[in-house]
Amino acid sequence: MSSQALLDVERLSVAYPGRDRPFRTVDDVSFRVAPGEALGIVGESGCGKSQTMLAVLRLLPSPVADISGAIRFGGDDLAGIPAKRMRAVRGSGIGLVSQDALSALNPAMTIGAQMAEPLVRYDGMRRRAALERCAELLDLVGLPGARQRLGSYPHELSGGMRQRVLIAMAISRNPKVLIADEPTTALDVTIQAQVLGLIDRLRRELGMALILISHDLGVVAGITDRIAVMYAGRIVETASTTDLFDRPRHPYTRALLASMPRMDEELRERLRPIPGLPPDLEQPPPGCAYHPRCLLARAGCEQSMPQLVRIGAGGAPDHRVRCPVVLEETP
Amino acid sequence: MLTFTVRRALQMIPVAFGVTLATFLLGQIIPGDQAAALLGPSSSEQERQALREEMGLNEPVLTQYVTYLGNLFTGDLGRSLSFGRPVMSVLAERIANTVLLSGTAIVVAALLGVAIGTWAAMKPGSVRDRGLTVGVLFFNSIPSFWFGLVLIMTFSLGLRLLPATGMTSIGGGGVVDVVAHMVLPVITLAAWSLAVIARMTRSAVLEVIGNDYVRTARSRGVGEMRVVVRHVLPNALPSVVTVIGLQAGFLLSGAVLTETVFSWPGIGLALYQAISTRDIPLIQGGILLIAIGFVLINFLVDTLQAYFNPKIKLA
Repeated sequence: MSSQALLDVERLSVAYPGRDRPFRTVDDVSFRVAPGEALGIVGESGCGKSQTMLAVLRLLPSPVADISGAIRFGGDDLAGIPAKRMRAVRGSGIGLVSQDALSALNPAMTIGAQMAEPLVRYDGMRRRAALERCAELLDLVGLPGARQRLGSYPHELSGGMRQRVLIAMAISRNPKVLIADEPTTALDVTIQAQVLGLIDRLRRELGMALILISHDLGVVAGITDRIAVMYAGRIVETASTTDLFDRPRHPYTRALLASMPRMDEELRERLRPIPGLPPDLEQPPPGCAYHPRCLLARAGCEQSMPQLVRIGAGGAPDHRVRCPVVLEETP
Repeated sequence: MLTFTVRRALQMIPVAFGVTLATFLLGQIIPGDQAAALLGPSSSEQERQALREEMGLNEPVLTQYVTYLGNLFTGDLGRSLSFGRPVMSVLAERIANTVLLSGTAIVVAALLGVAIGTWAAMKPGSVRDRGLTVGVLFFNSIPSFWFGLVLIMTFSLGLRLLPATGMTSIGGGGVVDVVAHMVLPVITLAAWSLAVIARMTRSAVLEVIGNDYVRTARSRGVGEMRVVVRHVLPNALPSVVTVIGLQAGFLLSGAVLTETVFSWPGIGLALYQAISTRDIPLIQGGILLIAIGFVLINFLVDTLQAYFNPKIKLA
């Protein structure tokens, strides 16, 4: 972890008022992203990965969701700056690509109109120049017939084309960080690979940092430098991508890898699903949230939530894991 | 868009025919002898028979309808019994007054209703949001003629701020005078619709504001006011426009009560007088006019819908 982190999230928590008592969808999450770095955040649905990103952009329903912690970006703590300053960060500091591109585009506006809107309103571009830039962006993301598409409505495009439009919109104001929240989930497998390749290429060409959120380790494997694995609102393991795949430590990470089909190995054994269901965040199990499903669970796991600690001697630098059981293993 | 508008306009023709049929049959169904009503109780049976013959009331119903339609096309709606003038001229001199009153009321109700509903929806559960719910309940629970009377008692008789009846003061006229006379009836007419429109806008805005594309706009730095005006309202308004259209039709007929309470010289007051004097041609004419107004408003609503929703436009 470099000291000149671009985005530095520290002890971020998001709490909602529950039926009986408040519950947390994001709990004590810290991570850093250096300029140009690609971070993957992986976990099952409902583990808090999207909540984390929406909290960073302050796009959660504000009086309901209670956000605590620090979100340092460009010398500001985003958690505390006024709404107007926050708006200036959105789009031009941090861009967001959300998952379902049909519902993420305004059905009543043409592609050109919604793409160009902030360029004209906030970046002082003339309408024609803004549309020109939008056409270039659509070209950049490989949308066929880019110029003609400016006049199309979202429902006239295919799923893959819409996702490309959404990516073009997210990078239109030159953000330093691009957050892609499950950008390929709604797409066919072949289109998925294209869109991932596109995001990777854009990150390199434009020098952006990338935070890629997915429930699929396979999706983040190819294009990220580091990965954080989340479970029940917390980061349970974080490491460099190669380290995480070569030496996964947390039982949950191992279970995720074991449940993933591998193309590079002969299929010797059946895929192993993870037994049980993710916990109800309103009533999390005591102690380590994963222990009811954990193969290594032992007495004491239900006692207290373990800390996220750096793996000692022999481990790779910056490999952290939230499990005392595996820490006792000899590496 | 143009094809849609033309096609939708053509659809009005059969509806209009249906309307004429309904108003014509209305005249047939209402009991009572038009000739007797016209000639008075001292007339002889021979005189009545002669008049029926002259008016074509002895013809078969179908022939009468064809004649009625033919007259309609030449702008002849018959003779008003109570006014002793052609129905057309009675309605013609009053329609502008009704349009002025109802039109102002619907514009006020629509603008304020959409604004208040949106304003409340931007902070669900807040004091202003709950205030809206209470206000809606209140204004939808009170009858308009009672509300009108209360307004007259308070502002005209009590505070002596505004005139209570008529359209102009004696010896008055001029814009200021008419506007002063309009204030109370417009409030009376608009209150009910305003409440309905505000409630509808609130729920429509709440539904749309949670959409992903609203988040997309915010995530690109678009300001909250602009998000609401450019991204939320265009997607929320189609359902609101439908309600506004229905309310506009409602106001047209609701004007009967309000115009009567405030003695506003419009179609509504004429209809009220026509009903109390069994003036069947005038009743028919007034209802036909209101019904045609309703059809036109619906056409306008559908065209606006298409304008807001590109998917309809292309269909």
